[in-house]
Amino acid sequence: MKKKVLLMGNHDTGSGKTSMRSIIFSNNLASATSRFGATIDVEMNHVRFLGSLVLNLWDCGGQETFLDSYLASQRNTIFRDVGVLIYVFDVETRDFERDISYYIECLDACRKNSPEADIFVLIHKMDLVTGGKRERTRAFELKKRELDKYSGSTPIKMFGTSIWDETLYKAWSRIVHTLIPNAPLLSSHLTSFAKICSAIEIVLFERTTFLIIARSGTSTGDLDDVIPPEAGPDSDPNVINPERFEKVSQLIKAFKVSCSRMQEQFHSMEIRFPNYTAVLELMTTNTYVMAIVADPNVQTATLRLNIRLARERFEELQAGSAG
Amino acid sequence: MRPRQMRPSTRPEPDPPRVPSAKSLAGSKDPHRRKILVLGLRRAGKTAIQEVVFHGMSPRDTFFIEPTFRVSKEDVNTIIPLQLWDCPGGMPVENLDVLLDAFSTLVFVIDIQDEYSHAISKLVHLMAMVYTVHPLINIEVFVHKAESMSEDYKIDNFRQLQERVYDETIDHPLPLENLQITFHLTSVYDHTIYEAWSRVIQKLIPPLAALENLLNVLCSNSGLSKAFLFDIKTLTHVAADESPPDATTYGLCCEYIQTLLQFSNLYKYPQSSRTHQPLPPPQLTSTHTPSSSIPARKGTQPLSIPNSKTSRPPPANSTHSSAPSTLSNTSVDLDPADSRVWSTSSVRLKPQTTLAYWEITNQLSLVALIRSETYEASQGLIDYNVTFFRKAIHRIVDIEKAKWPSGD
Repeated sequence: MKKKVLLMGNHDTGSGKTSMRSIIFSNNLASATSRFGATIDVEMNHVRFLGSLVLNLWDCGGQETFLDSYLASQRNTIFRDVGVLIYVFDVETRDFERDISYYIECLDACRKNSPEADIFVLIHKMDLVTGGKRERTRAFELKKRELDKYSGSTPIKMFGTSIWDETLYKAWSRIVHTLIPNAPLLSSHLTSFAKICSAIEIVLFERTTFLIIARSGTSTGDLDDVIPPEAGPDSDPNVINPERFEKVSQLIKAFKVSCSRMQEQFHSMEIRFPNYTAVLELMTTNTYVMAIVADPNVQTATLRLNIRLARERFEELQAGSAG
Repeated sequence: MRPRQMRPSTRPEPDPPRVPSAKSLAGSKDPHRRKILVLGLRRAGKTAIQEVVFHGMSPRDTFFIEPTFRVSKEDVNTIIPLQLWDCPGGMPVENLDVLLDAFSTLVFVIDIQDEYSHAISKLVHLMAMVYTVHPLINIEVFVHKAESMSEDYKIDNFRQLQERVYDETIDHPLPLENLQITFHLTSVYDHTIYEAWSRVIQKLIPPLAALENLLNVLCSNSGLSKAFLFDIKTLTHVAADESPPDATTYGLCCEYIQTLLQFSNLYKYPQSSRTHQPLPPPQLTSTHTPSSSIPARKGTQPLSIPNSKTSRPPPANSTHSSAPSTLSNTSVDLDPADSRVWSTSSVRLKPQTTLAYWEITNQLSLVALIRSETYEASQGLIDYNVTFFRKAIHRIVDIEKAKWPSGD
């Protein structure tokens, strides 16, 4: 199955489209992206995701001359058969008005040519907002409210992102999640698998990108389902960090890059902390599974054995998921 | 291989080699803290280094650090108590309110991108001053901001700078070449700054030889190819085994610990549900059944893994079978280290290495590289040996702590 993914946004200075693409799909570290030059015209990439799903990434250069030509002469080629449109804004933009006018035009072109397309908006470079989390949330809300006015009848999912933290993984896993047709089925299987393992939580990641595909504990397959409301730091020891999946994605991805410097490849990991045990292991050829267990009597070896036994079933499920 | 008793528990602690004389410390408030003076020209990166290593600041944020205007003192507790003195750039040392001989170490930071002749003349001037009052001080030169240059170019610059300093000391009327000076090429953007601090701090740790010896014994008995004892708060390693160090390995171990530390905050469950585990370490169940008829000789014998090349069976008194009975032996003293659940972790890499992590004390952790086949075949045994290593480290730490005044 092939899906066309458009990465767009208008910026003369570079809003970071190529950087985020390379971090998610090419195992680059955030610090390595400063070397990237501007994208000229459109760079096309085929990325294999979950084995049989091919993402056809169109990384569209953001300079105005290019945008003008996308909207005029190339309009049909660019905006036809789009599966996902990802429109990127720079949070610190100098000319928001102009950004919006291009955004409206792109949105319009996309809806006319590919009415089925899912549309996402990323407010990028959130790390440039000075202050803490509250300031960033406020800056994001401000932009979101502004953009909602122009987004038309259908609601558009928006994320504040930065290549320097887990927000990038959050946004991208929500994006690819829309491309996995049987996510609810995977979730329900993970939920029963978690029961078998006495695990608190079992999460499935895609192997190369480490984006979350599914997790236990949700009935609908929606990743944001039943996440406990965010509390103040350390207010309640039982609150699970709501950003944990993205954090794991980010941590393991960065660690994988470090391992490759040793001429070795990351393969599996197990951790026994005083308060929980985690096992991260290959599930199928294209996925990693992470099991979190709080019961101290559950041994990592048992978890590994269970994972090995579940492997065949999940291979079958996943073959169905990528169709 | 004959099992040996872990030595440091019985060995008297060697005297710290270079304690500043009591007289010179009389004026300062914390005589037990080893003092490190950080100097350098303006904007060399002195404060940034300390923020990154000792406060975990993200290297990217160091760009926004305000210049330091007054001397700031900061207490750092690693395996020994330290005190860092961060000085404003270009401040003459004469302005310090204590004498130079109060310091154990002098860290001099030079920005590699700068026209460094001024920095060098400042350094040599400083060396001349130090020579007259405290010739035994450790002088550590951080050639900093190495990330700004390409690999070859920075090595060239580093070498050139060292030669320049050496030439100047030769030309100096005082025999400055007798001072102990070490150069480090550092950057806050990678592990080199942690490596440099490790070397600086290691020179101040009195029981370093004991720690290294312990690591060597552990490595040879457990088939580890490299082991570091890390201070997890500062990511410096307080000791390593004697196998040749290599920067990539150290860097990977650093990142491993960082990853684990961040992982530990992701899920929070009340620890009360997982407190005392009466069972022996679970991995031991994979060894043979205990033969209770053989009493263990002492509770302090690490077991050795038979060398895979010679495949010699281990001596009778250290067979696998005696392991569980040793643990259940009531003569083993019940120190708190036994009842606590210590974090452990392992990462399997392909094709052949396993990274393993053991929490040793609240502040120290052991990170080792092991061949995966060794780890898989004798994980229980290695874990078992580590419990002895942990006990020995706890003893050393307790001895060191006893030297600190109460309240630390």
